[in-house]
Parts: sequence; structure tokens; C-alpha cells
Amino acid sequence: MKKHNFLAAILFVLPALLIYCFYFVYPIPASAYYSLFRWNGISPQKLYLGFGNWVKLVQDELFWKSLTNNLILVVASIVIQLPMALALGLLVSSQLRGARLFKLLYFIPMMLSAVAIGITWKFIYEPNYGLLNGALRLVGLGGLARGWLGEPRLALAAVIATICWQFIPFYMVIFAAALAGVPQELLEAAYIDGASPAVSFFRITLPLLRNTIRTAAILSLTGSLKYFGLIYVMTEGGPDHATELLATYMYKQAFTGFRMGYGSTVAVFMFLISFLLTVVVLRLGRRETVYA
Amino acid sequence: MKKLYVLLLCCLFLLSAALIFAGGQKGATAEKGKLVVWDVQTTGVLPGILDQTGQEFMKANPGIELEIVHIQNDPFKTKLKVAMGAGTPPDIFHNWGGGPLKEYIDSGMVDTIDEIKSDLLKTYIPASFDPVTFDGKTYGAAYSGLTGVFFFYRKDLFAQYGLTAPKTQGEFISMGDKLKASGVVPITLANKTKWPGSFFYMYLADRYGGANMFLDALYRKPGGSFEAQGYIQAGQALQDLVKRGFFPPGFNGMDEDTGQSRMLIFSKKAGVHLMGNWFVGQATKESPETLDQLDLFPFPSVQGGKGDPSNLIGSPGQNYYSISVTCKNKAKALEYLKTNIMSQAFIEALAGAGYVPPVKGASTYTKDPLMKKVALAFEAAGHVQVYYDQFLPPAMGELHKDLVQSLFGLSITPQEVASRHEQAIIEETKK
Repeated sequence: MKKHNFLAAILFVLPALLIYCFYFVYPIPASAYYSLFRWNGISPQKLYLGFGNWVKLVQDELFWKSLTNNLILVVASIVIQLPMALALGLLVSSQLRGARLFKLLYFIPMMLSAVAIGITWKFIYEPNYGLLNGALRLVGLGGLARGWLGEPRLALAAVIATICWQFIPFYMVIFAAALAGVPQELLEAAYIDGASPAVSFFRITLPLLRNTIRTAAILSLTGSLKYFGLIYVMTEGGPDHATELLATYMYKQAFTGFRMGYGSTVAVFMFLISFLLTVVVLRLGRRETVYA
Repeated sequence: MKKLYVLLLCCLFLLSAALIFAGGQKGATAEKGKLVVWDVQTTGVLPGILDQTGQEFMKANPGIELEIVHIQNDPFKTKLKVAMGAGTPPDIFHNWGGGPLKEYIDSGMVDTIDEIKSDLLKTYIPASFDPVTFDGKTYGAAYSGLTGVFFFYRKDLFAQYGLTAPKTQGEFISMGDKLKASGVVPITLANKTKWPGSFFYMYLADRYGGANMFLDALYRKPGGSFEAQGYIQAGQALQDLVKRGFFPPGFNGMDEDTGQSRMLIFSKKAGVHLMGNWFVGQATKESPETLDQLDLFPFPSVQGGKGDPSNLIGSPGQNYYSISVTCKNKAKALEYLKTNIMSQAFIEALAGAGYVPPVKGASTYTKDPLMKKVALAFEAAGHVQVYYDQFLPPAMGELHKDLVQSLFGLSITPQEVASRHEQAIIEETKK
């Protein structure tokens, strides 16, 4: 009976497993292999370079700049997105009037495609007609109006703001779902014992959300490391590479620049760093939960 | 028992994998009796005109199915590259000639069309084959209008401020000062897209250093260099325009593809727009009321420059069809290019839609006064330089656009831009 179940399970899993292996697992060693060659992606001939592409990668200023931007995005995503999402999650799962309406409204960005969001925000940031500059001028702060996506100093921050706007709803929903799982009895007991709402939040709710927070942090971490969509639509990594990320740099090298070998090198690096950081975060999280 | 399952599992896995691979083999290359065409014409009238040629071809060639697939510009580039890499490109594919086409040719994926070139030359202007000719072999034929870059402006705005079309750099700058003083942005530019900014660099380089400066530097002729005096001067003149505040604020983040540059022209907030003549088509669609106020002037000459002011930046063909080596019906594909593209009816349809067909006597076909000006400028041009980013090897073309964007952002000096170009070409020639 047990073996039967196993077979049935395998049969059901198999189609998905095959697709997963072919499209997600196989490309990883394949990219690692391509990273050893100078190759334009089309030609039947590849020039073997050994670790030439890797040496080039380490010396490539633009690569380091992309990596730095990527790390800024990772930190900003976790530091901004998660607390705000948690606050919103608390708001929409509270008993306040209109909480359900807010839940719906805040969820809207999640339902839009990255390209639609990118184009919309491009018009919001547009320096001459844009909503943001228009609003600043309207309230007499016209002096603060900027070419938000056009100035290297501001572009990354402007794009990060949009990315946060896009993803906060996602984490809000995750937190709202987790909050629904916090036992009411505990909170009631705390209330009876005279705990203030702040105390019961920090002593009861937050510790119980630890696993959810860890999952959200990992999703945010890996998502930010691989991030591509909005940046590509809004700035294409510009101006002057101010918003270049590893993924946009990889795409440009591999597809626009016909350097498939070097692009693969960047891709493999992305895989390695995501993998490493995820393992580290998982480890750190596990140690803490021992006595929770 | 367990081993059996594992074995069974492995067999299933292999079978499925084989099926996936077998399925992947098909790709875009069609079976015999079918021709697949990929182009990037998704808006305007061109898709309709092209579909018409397909219908006619199928009527004249029973038993052959011609499928024309219109794909959006940016996804197309990736899609074609993947199809080429997999060895299953479409029979006829769109390209812009220049560096990227050369990559495909060097990889042995593109067939010549030399068999029909003498026939094509009866209608086409010879220059239209320049971007697709390598080592004396021709690999494609233009299928839409030629394009040239000009300064477009509004006659009503110029009249309002008492301006006339400037012919020299000095006149151009005083025009800009006047517009700026009146609160109008002198030159609109959306440079997130990078290539619009490159127009300024290419034109200034041509006006200072002459047409051969680029070709000598690219083909490593004795004395040729991207660090030539003309390039330094071009960079300085470009940054001078930026420092004078002639461009809209935040122009390096504005997007040409969504029209953030031309909106300023349509709303009379900007004076001039350096753009390819496809701008007229965009105006027709987006702001028809502007259309009869539009006029153009060529890029001004500069003091002490070696360039012929009649030289143009543009493409004598712009969009090309090439035949891939995997095409199983090459004779039919050639016939399609020969008889259906640039047929009399096709030329008239193009001209009627505001294109300037790259054919002899193009100015007689076009009735639109602006397009007539474009056609005449081409007939009079001393040299037509194809856009650097399409002409250079692809990786260097990207670098060129990045460098010029930084030049506009004043974060790099003209000397650095020049030497980075020079380093890149040295590296490319090493290959």
C-alpha cells in the first residue's frame, strides 16, 4: 500500500519535476560550463578561456558597481519592505472600520505587471509633467522638483521606492495571513494580565511571527538579488549605470552585447551569492528559534 | 522492487527529455512549402502593407505558404538570438544591418542575396545595401523607408519668438539662448533610451572631423583613432550644450519609447527635436494638429569643422530582410524579396504612408513636403553615416551609448569618452 502511494505520487510529480529539472536545474551547470568560454551565443565555435571570464569579472568595475547596487537594494528591501508590510498587515487584520477596504486597496500593486508599474512610475517621475514634480510645485515645493530617474544620485533611490511599492502588498498579505494564525487566547490572556498593546505585540505577536519573518526575509533577499523587471523598464540600468543590477548587467552582456560566455559568468556568480546568502540567513534564523 | 521503480523513473525521465528535445527541434524553421518571416513592424501602416505582399506572393505561388510574424522590437532581439543559437531561425528575418548582423554572418547563419542583387539594383539606390554588405557580399534587402536624422521644429513657435532655422553652430546657440530666456526648453531629449543622445555625438563628430574620421578609426586605418581631435571637440561641444542648460531637466531619465521627448514639442514647451524622420509618423498619430506646423533643418555646421554640412546620420535602408542558411526554399525566399518587396505598388504604398523608399528618384514619389525634404537631403548628401550603435560590433555599440549618456550627464570628460572608445575598438580587433 505504501509503495503504491509512492508510485502514484511520483507519477503526479513527474511532469512538474521534469519541467523543473529542464528549465531550472539544468541551466545552472550549463551556465557554469558556458562561463568558461568566449562565445557569442550563436556560433558553433566556442573559444575555451578556462577561468578567463572569472578573472575579467573580478577586474570589471561595472560588475562591482552592479553588485554594490544589488546589495543596496537587498538591504533597502528588507529594511523598508518588511516593517512597512508588517505595519500594514497589522492594520488590515485589525478590527478597525474599513480595514477590508484598505486590504483591497493596498493589494492593487500586487495585481499589476512589473512593466505596467514601471511605465506608470516613469510618468510619475517624469520631470516636466510628472505627478511627483507637479505635486511638489502645487504645494510650493517646486524647488525640490528633480529629474528623478535622470540624476545618477537619485535614480537608484527612486527605483527602490517603486520596487517597495510593488512588493509591500505581497508581504502584507503574508503577514496578514500569519497574524490570523496568532492564537487569540494568548492576546486575551495578556490583556487580562494588564499588558499594553505594545507589550503584547512585542512579547507575543512578534515572536510568533518569527518563522514568517524569516521566510519573508529570504524571499525578499533572493528576489532582490535576482531583480530585473522594474529596473529594466524604468532605467535600463542607467543613467551612467547608477541603477545597474547584476541581472540587467548579465542581460546586456549576454543578449545585447553578444557575450554569452561572460553573461553566463555573471549569472553563475548571481546563483552562488544568492545561494550563499540564503544559507547564511537560514542558519542564523535556525539558531535563534531553538528556545522560542 | 524499489530498484524497479527507480529504473522505471529513469526511463520515463529520459523519454520525456527526448520528447522535449524532439519538440524543441521544430522551432521557427518551417517545413518545405512554407516560408516564415519575422519582422518588428507592430504599429502604423507597415504591417498591413507587408501582409499585403504576403497575400500577393501566395496567390502567385500556389503551394507555398508565407507566414509573416510581427514581433515587438525589444522581445524580437532576444527571440531571434535564441532561435539563431538553437539553429532554428525563421527563413527570412528582420535586422538593421551593421554589427549585430555581422555576428550572425560570422556564425554562419546568414545566406547572401547576391543572386538577385543586380535585379534589385534596378530599383534600389546602391547605398541602401551598405549596411548589409560585408567583404563584398550582400546579405539583405531593405523593406521600408530610409531614415535620416534632422532637427525638427514648430514653425509657429519659431515665428512667435522671431527665430529662423540656424545654419551654423553660432546661430544655433543664439537660437537656444533666446528660447531659454523665453522659458522654453531649447532642445528636447529623452536620453534614458541612450540612442537619441548618440545622434548629437555622431553629428558633432561628423561636423568637426569629417565623415572619414569614424571609418578610419573603426577600420584601423593609419592615423585613424577615436581619440582624434574631432572627437574631443565633439565631446566638448556636446557638453557645452548641456552646460548652457539647453536640454530639459532630468533628460537622462526620460524615455524616448514612451514619447517623453516629443510631448514637449507637441505642447510647445520645447524648441527643437533632433530625431529620425519617423518622428513625422509619430506626430501624425499622436498629435495631428502639430503636423502642418512641423518643419526641419539639417544639423548646423561648426566653425573650423572638416565635415561636409550635407552629410547625414541615418540609415539608407533602416529595416532589412535577410535569409537564414536554414531556409529550405531559398529560391522562393529570393523571389519574394525580388518581386514583392519594392514592387511599384509597394513603393507607392510606402510613400503614401509617409516613408521615403530607398529607391531611385524617391523624391518624385513622395508628396508630403517634409518627406520630400528628407528625400532631397539624401540625394544631396555627401555621405550617409549609419548609426554607430547599429554599425559597431554589438558590445562596443552598447559601450558607445553608455559613454555618450555619461558624457551628457557630465560625469565623464570628452577625453575619457574618446579613449574608452579607442580601447574598446582595440579589444574588438584583437578577437
